[in-house]
Amino acid sequence: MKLTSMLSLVAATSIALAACGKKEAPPPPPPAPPAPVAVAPAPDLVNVPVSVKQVVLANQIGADKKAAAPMTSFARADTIYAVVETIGSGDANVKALWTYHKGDKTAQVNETVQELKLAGPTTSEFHISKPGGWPVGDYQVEIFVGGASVSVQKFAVK
Amino acid sequence: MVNSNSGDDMPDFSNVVSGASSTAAKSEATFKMYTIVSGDSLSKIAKREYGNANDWPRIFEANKDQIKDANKIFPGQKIRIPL
Repeated sequence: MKLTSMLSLVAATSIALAACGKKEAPPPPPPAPPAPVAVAPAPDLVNVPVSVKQVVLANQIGADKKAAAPMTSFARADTIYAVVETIGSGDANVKALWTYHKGDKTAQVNETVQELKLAGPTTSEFHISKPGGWPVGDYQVEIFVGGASVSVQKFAVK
Repeated sequence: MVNSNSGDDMPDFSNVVSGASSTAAKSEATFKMYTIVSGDSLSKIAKREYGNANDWPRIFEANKDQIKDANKIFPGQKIRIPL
């Protein structure tokens, strides 16, 4: 083989080898993790001042003291419950003032107070009953916390 | 203004039975408010509320801030009756 032919062969081989040694393109990067979804923090139901979430009336409550079925009309023989749900922590003076209304006249039926130490969501109940049955008519219960009226629930006895 | 003393044409709610309870971490006290009427005594109130006149000290203890002498209570005085 002539020298020029050998040189040509070496050059061609070098080019081929160089081409084979060429690195492949790097794999595409893995997809970026999804951006974190902004989640609103759960409302703090503990480290806040005591406040009333809701008041419902019923003629029965469960072991958790919650109303079995909220209602605003009662039978004469019913025991009437006012279920007060609160959030927050601290000392709380919770009062239920029950009244009877006839025309422009009002008579007090009952006033009961609970002095509580609350540490988060709490359910409290007040109840009244009357031997011989309730007089038919219009009533209301007003709930006070710390002396301030926070809820008025009207109901009827039929 | 709420009249605790029912008028002539208003029903009598003096025999209403009340109670209260809570899921609270701690219940310090539960009591019913009562306005004393003429003829009341702590023993009469105890008899009516607890069924035993001898329980009057329970009411007296709960109202020591305003009743200094158990024999001296006055109509219109608003007292606490422990439940």
